[in-house]
Parts: sequence; C-alpha cells; structure tokens
Amino acid sequence: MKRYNLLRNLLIIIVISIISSCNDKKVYESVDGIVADAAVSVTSINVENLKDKIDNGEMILLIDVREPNEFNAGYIPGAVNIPRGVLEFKISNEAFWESAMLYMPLTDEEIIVYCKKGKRSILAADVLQKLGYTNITFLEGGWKKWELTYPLMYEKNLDHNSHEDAGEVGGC
Amino acid sequence: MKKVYLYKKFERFWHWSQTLLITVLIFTGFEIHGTTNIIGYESAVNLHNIAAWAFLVLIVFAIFWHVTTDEWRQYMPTLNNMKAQLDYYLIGIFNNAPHPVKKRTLSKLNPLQRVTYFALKVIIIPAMVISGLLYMYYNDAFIIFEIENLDWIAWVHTLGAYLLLTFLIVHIYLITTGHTLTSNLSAMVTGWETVDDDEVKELVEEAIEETGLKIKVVNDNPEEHQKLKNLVVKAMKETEDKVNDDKLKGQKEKKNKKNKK
Amino acid sequence: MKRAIILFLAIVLSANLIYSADTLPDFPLVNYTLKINRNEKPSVKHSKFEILQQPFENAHELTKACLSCHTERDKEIMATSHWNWERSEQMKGKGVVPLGKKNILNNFCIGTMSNEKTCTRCHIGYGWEDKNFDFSDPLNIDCVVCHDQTATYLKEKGQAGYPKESVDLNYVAQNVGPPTRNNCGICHFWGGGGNNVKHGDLEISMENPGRSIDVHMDIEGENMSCVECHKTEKHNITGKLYALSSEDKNRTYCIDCHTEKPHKDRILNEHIVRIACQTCHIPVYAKQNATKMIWDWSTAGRLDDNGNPMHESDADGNHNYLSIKGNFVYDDHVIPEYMWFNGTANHYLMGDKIESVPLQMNTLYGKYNDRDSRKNGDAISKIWPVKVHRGRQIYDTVYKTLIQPKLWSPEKGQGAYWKDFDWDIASELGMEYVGLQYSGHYDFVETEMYWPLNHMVSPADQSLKCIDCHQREHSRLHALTDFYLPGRDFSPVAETAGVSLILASLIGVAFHAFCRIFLKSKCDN
Repeated sequence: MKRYNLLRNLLIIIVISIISSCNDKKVYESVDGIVADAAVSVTSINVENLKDKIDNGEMILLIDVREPNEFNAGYIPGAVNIPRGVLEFKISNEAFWESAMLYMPLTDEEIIVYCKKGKRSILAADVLQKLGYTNITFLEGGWKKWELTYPLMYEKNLDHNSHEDAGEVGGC
Repeated sequence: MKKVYLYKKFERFWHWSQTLLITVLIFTGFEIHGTTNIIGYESAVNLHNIAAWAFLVLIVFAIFWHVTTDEWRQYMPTLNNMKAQLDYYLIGIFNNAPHPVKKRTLSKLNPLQRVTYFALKVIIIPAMVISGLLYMYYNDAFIIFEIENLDWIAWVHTLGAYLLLTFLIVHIYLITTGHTLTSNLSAMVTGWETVDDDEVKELVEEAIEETGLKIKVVNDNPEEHQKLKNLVVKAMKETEDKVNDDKLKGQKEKKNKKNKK
Repeated sequence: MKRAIILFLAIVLSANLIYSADTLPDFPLVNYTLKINRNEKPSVKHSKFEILQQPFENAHELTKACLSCHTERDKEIMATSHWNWERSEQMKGKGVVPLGKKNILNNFCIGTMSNEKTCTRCHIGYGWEDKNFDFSDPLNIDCVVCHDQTATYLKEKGQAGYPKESVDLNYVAQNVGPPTRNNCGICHFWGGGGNNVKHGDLEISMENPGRSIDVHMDIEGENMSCVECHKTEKHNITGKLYALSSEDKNRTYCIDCHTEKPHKDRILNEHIVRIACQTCHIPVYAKQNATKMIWDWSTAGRLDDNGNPMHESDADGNHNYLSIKGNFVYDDHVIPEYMWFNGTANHYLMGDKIESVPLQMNTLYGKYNDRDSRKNGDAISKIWPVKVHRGRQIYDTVYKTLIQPKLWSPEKGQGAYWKDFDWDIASELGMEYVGLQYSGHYDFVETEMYWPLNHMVSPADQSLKCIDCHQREHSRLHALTDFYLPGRDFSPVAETAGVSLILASLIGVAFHAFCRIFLKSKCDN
C-alpha cells in the first residue's frame, strides 16, 4: 500500500513538471533568450560552405532579411532582399516572386537566410520552419562574417543610396 | 528465517552519504567536463567542490572507523571461491541456484565484492582524490610539482569518473540479486539481513572457525553432537535476546565469542 | 539518524548559498580615493594672470606665456614619447632601437615619414613639417592641446599641428587644467582617419559614457579621466600602448587599485594567475561605434566618373571604400580574439625582410608553457583580449620590405598618393625620404596587427561567465589549443573508452536482468 502511494505521488509530480515545462506563454528577460530558444531547432551554415555552394553554382535561394537600406549598401552576390518584417507574408506570395523574376520556392527547396550578424536570421529561419519549409539554414555570423572573410566579394545597389559628395574624406 | 544484524549505524551512514556524494560528484563532474549543461557551469563547480570536501571529511572518518573496528578485514581481496561467485552470476543465478558464498558478520562480502571494493578504496578513490586536489589547486601544483599542463590530471580524473559511473550502474543492478529483489537494499537501510535457519547454524560454525575457537568432540556419540548443537543454538538464542537490548548491539560479536566458550 | 542527515544537508546547502552569493560590489580598493571623498577645487584661476590676457600673435607666444611660470616643464615634455614620437625599446634580436610614431609602420595609414604635415595634427607641438623640426625649441611645444578645458581648441588639418584660426587662444589659455578624456581623446579616439578606426576600445562614446560602455568612465559613477589610471609624474605618463612598446616597463595595472585578490571567490582569484583581468571584464569592444577590422590598400585608386576621389558606405554608415585608402570592413560589438601575452613584444621595423605571410606588424610574445622565458626575467604569460587588424598594404617585391609611401601633400603634382594616385611615384618618394631603396616593383601583402584591449570595461554582471570559455563547441578560447581546458577539451581515447564502458555495463545489466526475468518464469514451472 505504502509503495503504491509513493509511486502514485511520484507519477503526479512527473506529470505536473512535464505539463508546466510545455508552457508556451513563457516570458523572456531579453530578446537573446528568444533567439537562444529558436536557435535550438534551426541549423546553421558557415561562410566557407556558403561560398563553396555559390562557387559550385548550386541551386540555392539566398534571402537577405535585413532592411532595404542595409541591403543596398552591400549584399552577398545572388541574394534576394525580403526584410524580416514582411518575410512570412511574401515568401508564399506569387505576385512578389513574379515581380522579382524568380521562381517561388517550394517547401523542400534549400533556402539560406542571413541578416547582419545572425540573430534576425535565426528568428526568420524559425518562423519559416513553422510555415512548413523543411530545408532552411541560417548563415552563422551573417553578413558581417561574410564581409570580414571575403571583403571584396559583394554587390551593391549604389543608385539606391542617396549620398552627398563630401569632397575628400577619410584623411586626417 | 532469522534476521541477523550485519550493518551497524555508522556503516550505513557512511554507505548512504557516500552514495549521495558520489552521485553529486558524478553529476556535477560530467557537467564540468562539458558532457551536459543542466545546472550551469558555475553551480556545477561550486557543488563539486563542496561535495569533494565533504567526501574527504567522510573518508577520514571512514578510515578511522575501518581501522578501529577491524572492518578493514572485510575488504581484503581473495580469490577463494572467485570462480564459484562468477559462475553464480553468469549461470547459476538463472537456475535459481543458491549463492555460493554466504554473508557472515565477519565476512559480509563475496570475493567479487572484495576485489571490487578493494580496488575502489585503494586505487580509484585515492586517484580521484589526488587528481581532484591537483585540479583544485592547479596553480600551486604547477609550481610545487613542476607540472607542465593539466593533461595527465584530466586523463586520470576522467577515466576514474567513467569507472565510478560504471561501478554505480553495475552495483545498483547487482544489489537486486539477494533473496528478493529488495532484500539487500533493505538490509543496507535497516541493518538487518534475513537469513534462513540453516544459514544461522552455518553462521555460528563459521564464526567459531574465524575466531579460532576450537571445539574438541569428547566422544563420537551422535547424541553428544546433538546436545552440543542444541547448546550452541540455545546460547545463540540467549545472545539474540540479549542483543535485542540496544546497549549490547555493538558488542554482539564479543558476546558471541564469550558464549561459545 | 534522521537528525544527522538533516544537519549534514543543512551544512551542505548553506555552504552552497554562501559560495554562490554575488561577488559585487564591495571589492578591495587601494591607492584610490572615491570622488565624493575628494576636494578637487583648483588652487589657481588662470584667468587672473595678465600674461594670459595679452593678445597672442601665434601659438608659440601662448607657449612662451605658459613657460614663463611653468619654467621647467619644457624639459619634462622633451623627455617624453608624446613629444619625440619615439622612445628606446629593447627587442629580441634587434637590440635597443628607437620606436615610436615617428618611425613605426602599421597596417592603417602605414607611417608618418614624408607625411608629417598632416600626421602631426596629433603631435603635441607646432610646426613639425619635415626632418628639420627643432625638437629642442621649447616654444614649439603645444601645452593647451592636453590642458585646454574649454573644448574649443582644435588643430588645423594639414598644418603641422598649428591651431585653427578660429581658436581664441586667450580664452583657451585662461581655462587650463588637468587633461580630461576629451583632451586625450581628440587624438587617441581619431587615429587612423576616423573615430574608433584603430583601437576599437577608445572612441567618442567615451566622452560621456554610461556604465555599460565603461564602468570607470561612467559619468554617473567615478567619471575617471585617463590620467587617473595612467598616472603621470612630471609628464611621464604610465601605461603605454601595448602594440608599440616592446618592454614590460612603466606599465599601469588593474591590480594597482584592485589588488591581487579582487574577487570573493577563490577560484576566480586563481584565474588571475594566467588570465588577464581584461579578458573576462572586456567581453566585447566597439560597443557603440564600429571599428575598422580590415583595410585593403590594394583596391585604392578607383575614382568616380569625373576622375575625382569618392567614397562608399556600408549599411551602418561607415565607409567601406575610399579612393585614397581602399576597401574597409567595419564591425561593432566585436568579440575579441585571445592570445598569450607576457608584456613583451616585437615589431616590424622599416627595412626588415618580410619572412612569412601574413606579416605580423607586431608580435606579442607569450605562450602557455613559458617556463624558459620566465627564467629570463619575463613576466608570466596571460591570456589577453586582442583586436586583430588585418590588411593588405604595399611592399617591395624585390627587396621584400614594406614600403613607406608618400601619402599626403597639399596639392596635386607632388607625388603624394592621396592626390596623384600613383603608387610608383609615392613609393619612390617615400622610400627616398626614409633612406631605403625602392626597386620599382610593388605589390600588396597581407598583414596583421595586434592591439591588446584595456578600455570599455563592462560592469561585473556583464563579465564573461564560466561557460563562455569552459564549453566544447563555441569556447571563446577555441584558438588557444596549447593547453588543456576542462569543459572544452577532452581526450578522445578516454572518452571512447569511458563511454564504451558505460554502454557495455548498461547493456550487460539489461541483458542479465532480462535473462533473469525470462528464465525465472521458466524455472518456476
């Protein structure tokens, strides 16, 4: 009888702890906690592997989830700019892909997302996985890591940059 | 069936504190090693160090106890009946064969246990303590012993940890090989081990043998044999009754010897 | 029995609580008085002196006025490296050599020789245009660049250190005092041609920083000025740039105030033996404004459609291309790289042969097993956080030396690269100026320069945690593989043996139990 009570109590404790840990309404202290939680379920790719894929001409979809002004100042060759704010809405919007003159990605296509340093892309990859895309990776270190590793391999949209010519700059 | 008092209070306290401390040490140790990340590195280090010091204190007390109560004899390794013991575990146990080696107050451990526990006490635990202390005071160790790096210390400590974990797994399993699944466990909790009547008789006979008390048979009469046996059993019963009185528990063995005279 | 267990557990738990208590904020502090305990009212009002109210024809007259009272200060100044832009340093394999801004090469703007008139905007003097500068003339000293308290004193671009015309010298002279962060920062924040280009941990956000930028300079905290750590006696400023000083002398140390046992935790104090304070307490640098991480001179010279120099910026507004300088990559919130360092270093000197690529502009000495170097008197090697600046700069392919190019001149046609964009001419003129040969053939070589970090100290709760280094996958110390670090390293042999042992025992136990259950039911029948 005693043993039965003990087992039953133990079972109740285990069940309660499992249920309480599955709580979705967890409140985080900072965004880093949200990123860390999202990072658990997404995979990353490093800049060397991405460069190999680009060099080998592999069919990947490279999405830059930064803001347009960041993108125009410099991006990885071949990337498409879909800011994170509209990512979920444009990814499956046929009209958007038509205007970008690209094929809309299928849910099993290899998609690589990147942002400036990596945190935004982790959240982006997480939400795309929730939408059913099964082959998503994010670029570890983001655009900055690419820039630091391959400083001369980038494209820019200079005409989009409004900039006054300030004469000689950068000397002392 | 009779109950024999095999494990005194300190022995049980020592066993269970050791269980707790070794478990904590293994758990926090693997966390520090990088295998897991459950309670956090800093907490793991602090807990590991506290448990280590507590364990050292416990070891000091235990060594003292082992020496003053002569319990150290229990751990002398022997190869007597080793084959029989191994055969039991590998084959006999599946056929409900009886244990080849019985528990006696003066000899509570079977040969396999003796060898294993001896190795633990003399080789593995000291190696862990020494490597652990070197780890804890690594800067001083570097200066005093002119060590170049932590490699060897880490190697010994890690390997010892894996061996201890293996021991834990096998030990927890093998304690289920008593009379019943939990009889050994309850013996280590309460101190009382159940033995059947035949064993009691053998117990006394072996106790006599161990202590070197000689009994010369006066004549070959089987009746005399029976009388002697009855005497012994009666004396044992008397002793048992007296032992139920708490004060005598610690002196049970001495009383046994005296009664046999 | 129960009581014994409860007592034991109580002891264990309370010991644990004590151990894990916070280690701020009451740590030991020596050689320092908190600001609230000081009386810092100045004893002199310089605005009362007539000599400082006379009109000054030029900056030299201002200096003369200063020296009329502070008569011996000129001799002090002339002994310093701020004035001479060099000091004697002993280096392994090179003996004692003069080393300083005058003759050192870096992988930023390369060097000052032949470019003095613009580079000496950061010299504490007036008129150093070329080799003819008179270092012994006291009137060439610029006192107020360091001592001005008005924040209006600025030196003019390309004028060898003379102040801007718009500066009111009387106003400045009458408001002088001990140097503030802004005084030091006007040069030390802007080195390399922009804010935070060089150091990474010294920039304009430290003019009025908050606690998270730097705890010592926090304006709501101690608001320490540079010279409160870089203690100065008779203009001899302690604590010089690690990247440029080869010997371990005249330093300023954290332990000078924080003592050798600043933590409550014994283990943390043990870490200090092999880990510099800066490693854990400067977890990230370039906290507000980005710093230059890469400078590729080889792409310089690309002009716009009209043939004029141009610039391009990156997403954060930092330059990433300048016609005069080439490509850059900036980064902010940078995680430092970590190196063993014992306080001594070596430097590439002009004329040295390039032996290996990437060329190390300076070499930080130190390693884990440094018993031999310690026997020779070196300090113990510690792990230091370092900014590594990587670049590509011009070198002579025949003589295998770096080239000092002539970069600046006021007008075109004088051979300066920044005006004429011709590397050949710039190299020829530059190397001639420094007295070295130029073969006529140049190319660009990869270089690295190591800048140990000392500023942008984070609050204690943001310092590195154990797990930042003691982890297997992304340890901050992943590059330092010459020692065993628990939690990061493991012996593959021991791991394989151990794990196999565990698995074997688990399987064996399970199998044994299974057989017992299975065969017992058989036997019972």
